[in-house]
Parts: sequence; C-alpha cells; structure tokens
Amino acid sequence: MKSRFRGLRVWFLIAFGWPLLLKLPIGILFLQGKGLLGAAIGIGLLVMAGLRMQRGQAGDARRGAVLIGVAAGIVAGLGAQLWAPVAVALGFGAWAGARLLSDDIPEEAPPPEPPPSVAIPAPLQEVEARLEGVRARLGAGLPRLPLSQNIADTAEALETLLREIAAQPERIPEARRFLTMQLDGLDRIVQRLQKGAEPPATLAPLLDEIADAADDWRARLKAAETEALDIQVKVMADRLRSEGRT
Amino acid sequence: MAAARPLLPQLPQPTRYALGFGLLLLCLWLPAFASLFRQ
Repeated sequence: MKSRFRGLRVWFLIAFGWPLLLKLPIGILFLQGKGLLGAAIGIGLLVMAGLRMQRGQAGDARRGAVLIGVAAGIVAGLGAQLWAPVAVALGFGAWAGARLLSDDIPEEAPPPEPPPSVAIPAPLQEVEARLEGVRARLGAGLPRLPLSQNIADTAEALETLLREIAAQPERIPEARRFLTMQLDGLDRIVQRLQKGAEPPATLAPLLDEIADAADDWRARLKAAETEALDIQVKVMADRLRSEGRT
Repeated sequence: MAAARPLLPQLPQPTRYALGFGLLLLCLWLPAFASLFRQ
C-alpha cells in the first residue's frame, strides 16, 4: 500500500512534463530537430527520475529531484529555446519544486552491510575445502541421500566452529585436528552413501554426536574466554587497589 | 523513514506543497508547454 502511494506521488511529479508527449509527434511531423531532441531527452530523464524515486531507497528522492531539474533545464533550453541562463534557473526551480513535493515521501533504510566474513587462515583452508566438498556432494546427491538433513546439520555445526576458530588464531592448532578428523570422516560417509550404501542404525546418533562435540568445543572456547576475562578483571582491580585507591 | 534534511524545513507542510507545485508548474510544465509552439 505504502509503495503504491509512493508511486502515485512520484508519477504526479513526472506528469508535469505531459506537453512533451505532444511535442514528440509534432516534432516528428514538422521535422523540428532541436525541439524533438529536447522533448526526447526530457521524457527520458523524467522517466528515469520517476523509476528512481519509486524504488524508494535512501537518497532516491534526492537523486530523482536532480534528474527532474536537469530534464527541466534541457526542455527549457532545447525545447522552448530560452536563453541558457534562464534555462539553468528554471532547472534549479524544478529541482527545488520536486524536492519540496518529494521530501516527505517515505524511504526505506539502506540495506544493512553484510557482516565482514573472517578470512580463513592458511592452516584451516584444507578443512574449509573439505567442508565445501561435503556440501557439494550433499547438493549433488540426487535423489536425496539418506540422512542428508542430519549430515547437513552436522556440517553446519562444524562450519560454525570453523568460523569461530578462524577468528582466534591461537586456538587453531588444537581445534584443527578435531575438525580435520570429523570432516574427513563425514566426507567418507557421504561418499559411501552416494555409492548406494545403506546407512546403519548407528549413523544418525553418530552424526548427532559429532554436532554435539562441535558445540562442546564452542562452549569450551567461550568458557576459556570468559575465564580469561575474569582473570583480567581481577588483575586490573588488584592493580588499582595496589596503586593506593581502596 | 522520511528523507533527512528537507528543503526549507521551517515552512509548514501545506506551504511547502503549494510552493513545490508552483515551482514545478512554472519551471517544468511551462517550458514543456512553450516547446509546443517553438520550432
């Protein structure tokens, strides 16, 4: 509803240029080169302004008003063949008019920037490649592999751990072995399933266990960080006290 | 979300609308209409 309202408002602004639509056939009929050019450019710019304003993202109303101003200047200069400074002044006038009529048109907030992705350090790149391999096999597995949802969940748990580890380089050596081992196993499992193997009853619990183990790792990382922060706070408090403040 | 920093914010909204309408009529519609009577 809001966007239709915005559309009506915007096209109302653009509709001020309606005589240009009449000028087009007149210009063609009477071979008025300059006037025809002015009308064509004016209509083009006005339509561009309308589309831009209707998009309704942050800043679109302003850019649309500038386009309307440029269109008015060109129409005045080429179409009405006014003295150039007057045409420029009319362009500014149209810009101001368009701004006054479009200032309060609701706009959407600019789309949020994507979160910065942590670059995967070199020692973990092999792990990442393996993870991609598992994903690719899962995606290519048509018809769907048995337990593919469980496998995808496990892969996601491992990926979450991978991203967290990547942001803490000092933890890489200890976590790398775990990640490599689990992803290697997962990759082999997917390969066997792709070749038509029947999953044993113990596979689903095993996959859950791997995902749980990955979550445990993350919990342990978090606990270690919390503990480190705790120590840091204590050290700072002690230092403050020892410097004479009680 | 409305656009930030409107033009002439001190004027009340109806006046701003009227002024905008007048400006567009004078600066966009009039030249376009005049172009109909030019070569």
